[in-house]
Amino acid sequence: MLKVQEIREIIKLIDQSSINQFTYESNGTTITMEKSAGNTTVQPQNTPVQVVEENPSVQTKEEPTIKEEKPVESHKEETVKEESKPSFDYEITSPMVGTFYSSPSPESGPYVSVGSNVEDSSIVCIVEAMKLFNEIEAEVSGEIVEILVKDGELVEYGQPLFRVNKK
Amino acid sequence: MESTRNKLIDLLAKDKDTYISGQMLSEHLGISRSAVWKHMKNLEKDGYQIEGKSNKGYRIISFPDKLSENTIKWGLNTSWLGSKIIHKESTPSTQVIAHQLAQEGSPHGTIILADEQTSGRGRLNREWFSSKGKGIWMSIILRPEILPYLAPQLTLLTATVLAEVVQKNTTVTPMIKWPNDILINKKKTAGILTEMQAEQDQIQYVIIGIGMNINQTKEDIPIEIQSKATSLR
Repeated sequence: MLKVQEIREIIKLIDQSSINQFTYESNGTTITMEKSAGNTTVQPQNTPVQVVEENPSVQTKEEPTIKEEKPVESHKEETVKEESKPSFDYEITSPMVGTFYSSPSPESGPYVSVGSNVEDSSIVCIVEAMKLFNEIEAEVSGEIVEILVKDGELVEYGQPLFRVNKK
Repeated sequence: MESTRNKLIDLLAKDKDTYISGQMLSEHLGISRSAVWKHMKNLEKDGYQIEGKSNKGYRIISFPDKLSENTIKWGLNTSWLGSKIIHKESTPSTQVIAHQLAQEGSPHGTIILADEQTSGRGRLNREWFSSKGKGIWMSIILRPEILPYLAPQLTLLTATVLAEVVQKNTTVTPMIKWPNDILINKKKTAGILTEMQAEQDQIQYVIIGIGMNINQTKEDIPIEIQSKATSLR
């Protein structure tokens, strides 16, 4: 969280600049500043809920403030999304254009699913082109955290197929 | 060992009607006479019939009609394809052996053949009927220096070669059902299953599996696929 003096400093600088909107984000705290018709509004906030509580009167009276709230909200959502996405440090990609098969035959189960642990030489899927069956190896050892394509889907050269959290 | 045996067959087969003395054989091959005799015994195991007459020597009176590494290699003029041949009387699938061998580093051009496959398979693990002595069941290990995306052409090449071989050696004109099946009278007689292990820009190995129905009579072909399958016979 920024100190009051620091915020004041930023306001001054933005005021003197040609910047119309300014967003600062750190550790879940977002500060948004927006210039409207010569006036400058400042909103330090911890969560979007707080914004509503703090400025109910402002919201009803001043349109610029409402507009201001939207970008803040969308920012929050993005942050949440990124956090819920599993972390990965390797992507298994397709070496050729073809059809992606998750299992060795339609009757059997998939080679891997989310949460599977793979070794370098584990087969994770098949990519087929013109009846040539390419068994794709993981090439790393780790855990499958995300499968990016569906069974039977057409994949491109170099397209990521799996996300792996390396061990 | 193997090449000596091949040379021995070559020498004996050169002229079927002449006897070649054991002395001559051992000189030609640079091995002792007892070694020559051992090789002969092994050849007999492979199904060759060798006649030995005292004071005259040896001659081959009949060639085997069964497969073995020796009988295939004999007369095979090759620089790489088939320079290493592995023959099994019975195996679940030559394709499975090929994968194992390829992973263990078997060289480009290695061929795996079987008289019989107990769980031969086609595409998507579909069953391929490969009964004993009725056809060619083989897998070829290739390590081509081409980019992985070009590898499907190997299937086309194999299909073309198979069709040409059938056309040259028989009276039938095969049709290719692109990219991987050979048909005779609109029925499948051979299939190709190509499998590959590749990285983004490099092929580790390609295995071309070939199943070709040759000797099956109509009764040999399972009823459920009689409408779709045939053999060279």
